[in-house]
Amino acid sequence: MIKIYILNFSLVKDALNRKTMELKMNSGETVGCLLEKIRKMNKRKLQDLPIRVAVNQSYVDENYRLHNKDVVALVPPVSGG
Amino acid sequence: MVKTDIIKNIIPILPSDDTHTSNGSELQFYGRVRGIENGQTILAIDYEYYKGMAEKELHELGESTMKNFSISKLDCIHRVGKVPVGEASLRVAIWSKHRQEALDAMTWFISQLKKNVPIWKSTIFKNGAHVPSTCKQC
Repeated sequence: MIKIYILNFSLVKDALNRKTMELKMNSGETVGCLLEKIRKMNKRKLQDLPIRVAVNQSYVDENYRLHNKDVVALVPPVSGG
Repeated sequence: MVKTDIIKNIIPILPSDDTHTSNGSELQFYGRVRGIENGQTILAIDYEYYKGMAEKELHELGESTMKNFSISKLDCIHRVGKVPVGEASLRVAIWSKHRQEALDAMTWFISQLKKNVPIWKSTIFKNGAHVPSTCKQC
């Protein structure tokens, strides 16, 4: 098992009602697996929301394999400017 | 040369710089908070950001813009936190030999910023409601 730290922002934070959380996952699981779990936490608000993922402050794709103590940011569509 | 920053205070006006003697174009852009959003009066926009990554992405974007366009210098400040109506949330300045390079670079830089830099708007309406922005043209 590995433990990851999750940072929620904007619409994801609102949907999950928390800024941060910790999650235990099986060793070798990918970002895609993580997103499936996250979307199940609030299907109504998260099912169709595009979410990018950053691990340790860099964007990764769904095939990225998570490691113990990774800091994972769930990034809904950004809107700076 | 690229200079980028994310700050929580009012963005200072950038004085025109007479020392860029090899650049014929100095282009400055200020993005300001509009008083109307989706037909409703608003008080401010609250900008949330991912501290650390937002700074990194903004600086890398500046470096990419320098590589992709023939410009001499790019300077950008993004404000975060609560920005009242009328005040600037974004300042970008670009110097280049000729105007077209700066105009093209500015358009690309801002469009990429709005796609990749982890900053999010939340609109504060007159009734006190905070609503995350879903404006696709913002």
